[in-house]
Amino acid sequence: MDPELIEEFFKCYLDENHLKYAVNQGIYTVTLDKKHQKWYDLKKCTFDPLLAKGPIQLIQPGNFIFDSMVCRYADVVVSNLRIPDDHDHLFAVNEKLVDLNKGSVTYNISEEREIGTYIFFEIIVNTANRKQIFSLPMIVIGKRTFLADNFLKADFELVQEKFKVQGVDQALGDIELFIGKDLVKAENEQDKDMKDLREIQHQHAEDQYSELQSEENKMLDRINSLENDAGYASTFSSKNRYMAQAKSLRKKHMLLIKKNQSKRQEIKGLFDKQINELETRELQVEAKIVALAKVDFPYLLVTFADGDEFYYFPFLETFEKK
Amino acid sequence: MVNIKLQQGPHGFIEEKELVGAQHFKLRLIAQGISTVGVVQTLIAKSTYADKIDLLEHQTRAALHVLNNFSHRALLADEVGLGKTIEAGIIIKEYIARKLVRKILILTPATLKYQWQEEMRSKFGEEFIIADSPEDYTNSKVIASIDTAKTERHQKVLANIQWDLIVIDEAHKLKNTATQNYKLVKSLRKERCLMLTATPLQNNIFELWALLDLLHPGFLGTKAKFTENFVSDKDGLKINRSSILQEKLRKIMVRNLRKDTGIKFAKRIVKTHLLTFSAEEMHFYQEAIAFIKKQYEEISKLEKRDASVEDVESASNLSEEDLKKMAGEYKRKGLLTFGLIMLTRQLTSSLATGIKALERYKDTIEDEEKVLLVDALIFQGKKIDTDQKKDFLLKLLKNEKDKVIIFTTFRHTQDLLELELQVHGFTTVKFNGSMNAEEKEEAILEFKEKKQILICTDAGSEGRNLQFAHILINFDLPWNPMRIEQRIGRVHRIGQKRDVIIHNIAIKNTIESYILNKLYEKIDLFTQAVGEMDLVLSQLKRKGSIERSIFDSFLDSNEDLFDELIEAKNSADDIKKFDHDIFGWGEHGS
Repeated sequence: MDPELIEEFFKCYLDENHLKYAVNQGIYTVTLDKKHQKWYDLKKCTFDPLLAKGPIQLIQPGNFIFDSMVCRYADVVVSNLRIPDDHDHLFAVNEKLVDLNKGSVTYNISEEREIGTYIFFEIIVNTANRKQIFSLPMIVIGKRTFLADNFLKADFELVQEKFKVQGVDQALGDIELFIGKDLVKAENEQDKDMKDLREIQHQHAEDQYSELQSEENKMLDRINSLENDAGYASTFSSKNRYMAQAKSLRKKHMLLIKKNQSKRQEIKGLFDKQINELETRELQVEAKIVALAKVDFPYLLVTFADGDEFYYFPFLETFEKK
Repeated sequence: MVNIKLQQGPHGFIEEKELVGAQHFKLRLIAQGISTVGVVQTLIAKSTYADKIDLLEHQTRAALHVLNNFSHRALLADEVGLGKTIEAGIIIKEYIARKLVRKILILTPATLKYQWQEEMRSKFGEEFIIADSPEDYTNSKVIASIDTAKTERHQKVLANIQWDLIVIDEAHKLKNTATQNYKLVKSLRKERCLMLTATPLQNNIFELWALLDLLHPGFLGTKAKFTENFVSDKDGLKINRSSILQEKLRKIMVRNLRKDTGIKFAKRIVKTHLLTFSAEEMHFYQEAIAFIKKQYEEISKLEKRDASVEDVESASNLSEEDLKKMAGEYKRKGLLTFGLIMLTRQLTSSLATGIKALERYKDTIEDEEKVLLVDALIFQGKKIDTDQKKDFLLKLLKNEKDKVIIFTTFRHTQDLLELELQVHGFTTVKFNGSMNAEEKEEAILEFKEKKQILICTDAGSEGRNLQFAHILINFDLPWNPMRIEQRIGRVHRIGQKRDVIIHNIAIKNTIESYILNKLYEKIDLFTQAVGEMDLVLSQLKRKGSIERSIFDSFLDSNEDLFDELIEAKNSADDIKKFDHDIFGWGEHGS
């Protein structure tokens, strides 16, 4: 886990909750308010973002206070945000222009604004044997969807105005554009796992069947051998004895076949049940909206003399062809 | 193309939500990053129980291992005392937090159902319903005793329910494929299954096969295939290709051994105090035992003894309240042996409890001659004004400053002790099975924070961790070694920082001293790790109730039982060695 991100979360949390803290040589000492004192049964707590020394507690997952802080932010959040203009982006775009390989083609840069929808998806992929979670931040602008990894780096202002949500279906439809490879990998994994599991079940049922069959065959062999012995018996009484034994075994054989018939049914029933259970483990891909915001943001439009036009979205830090 | 479903359904709900500020929005996004990276590294539900449990490294590791590697089927087989219930709780909680399971069934032996309920409630904040009737299965989190669940009425309902998760405690009890328990578990519809046992091997490797075949049918092949591949003797005590078998087992089970966890368990110091009855007390006791012996001889002639063996066996694990109920049943059935066992036990608990028991016993007999005999005994008992046990207890506690837990089997003794100790200036709190969950919680808190002595019955103490105390007094001795183990287990567990001192109080030449000398000391009961007695008793060839066997041995002066117990202990030691050969894979099994 990225320690900087963890520290950022920690600082944001302290600010959001108006908790007083001091940082000395990288170690945070936090004075808790009444609400937090009650939650953690502590008046003050100390955190070292890098190392845990003695009673100092790490800022990291697994630390009770830290985990509790993270837990407080578990619900879906919705916001209406405005990213103010920032002329520094003009410098950034100038530096990035080389990436476009346009050489000496003249260009014009204009600062524009656009409104889009930011959606942060949690994609849950359940295969027969494991579960994977992908985080996918996207921004939908008009009919296009972009990955928005650096979105958090922007400065935001809250716009206190409810809005009509747009772009969710489009974003949902475009998920495969971004994690298509992972999904194909999961599908392949699923196919292999299911095949393995089915094979185990098949083999198991086969083995059980063949064990029953071999039990019956063994008895049949014994009957044949007794009947054969009777055919070559040297005395009448020994012939009778062999025949009687064979007859008694035949009866037992019939009973065994009958018993095994119900055993076979039982095996078949269990096999079907196992296979049905396996079917419930089919590949499932679910998307969950974690955060959504209407975003009014600045971007730069670069128009080249040769007619090409590119967007430069500061939160993407790359160009996108118009 | 993969079908991607939106988990939250139609997204109209978004417009209903209050708008959050930029800072809050940012916090949510970072929190998401922190918690989802943890699919394999961290437990996202940990903060909800971390203040209630001292989590140990092997527990977290085992839980993570199960969550990551065995997503649907696992056998948790840590050695005794390493906290399998905690591990299961972590897994359950994590499954719930990740919305992977909703409908959960925990199957346990009857004696552990309340303990599970209590642990899930107090440690993990999860409310489970005990299934007393089939309707209870409509709840999403249910605990059922396996014996109740297998009854036709329950099984009929259970067969039609799809469970997201089934947890089976003491899973070694499913080692026999022909039993109803085995068939019940096999018939349940379950997506995920977690089995718990400290003793996956009790007699031979075939038991392990049976258990794993139930968990993951076919994983180890049919029994014949398994034998062909891995077993080199007909008794199932010698293994072929052990490294391949270990590799297979690692894919489906976790087994941490105590020696590998590095946990230091507190030392146990056992002090046995054998007291001498006064002449009057001894005379009363001997007369009462002579009466019981005579009664027993008469009953033995009347009834087929085996008729009640099963009932008495299950009774040996029941609470006093349940025992009373059962005693009523016995009266109706005319099976009086059980009543005599209870009477004998109460006579050694305390004089007053013995007299009270005689009074109750008198009500169950019709023969006038016998009523007169019992009346005479009661009269004789009431004249006695000494009580050696009680006096000794007061002496023992006189200079004690630390917290003390006194165990007694009987509520009447509990009341007497409370009164006596309070009169002598001790601060006490009672704890027993008649209290509701809230009262129990309060009592424990009171003991922890204010009172010096907790007077506890066996039934009340189940599932309670009292390791903040380290002195335990057995004011009377249960006849079932498992009960003793359960008492010790309240304080001698992970997290106990001090030596555990166990005082046993018994009177010379009574059945209690007989049990102490002949039974408990010979099988090292008081020094065995908590949980090991189960394995010893499973090796005992004689079936039926251990209490009844003790009673028989005492009255007949027959010592066969004790020899058998020593033999059982030796077998258990051999099995432990075999177990370590198979599971000693060195990396804590995970």
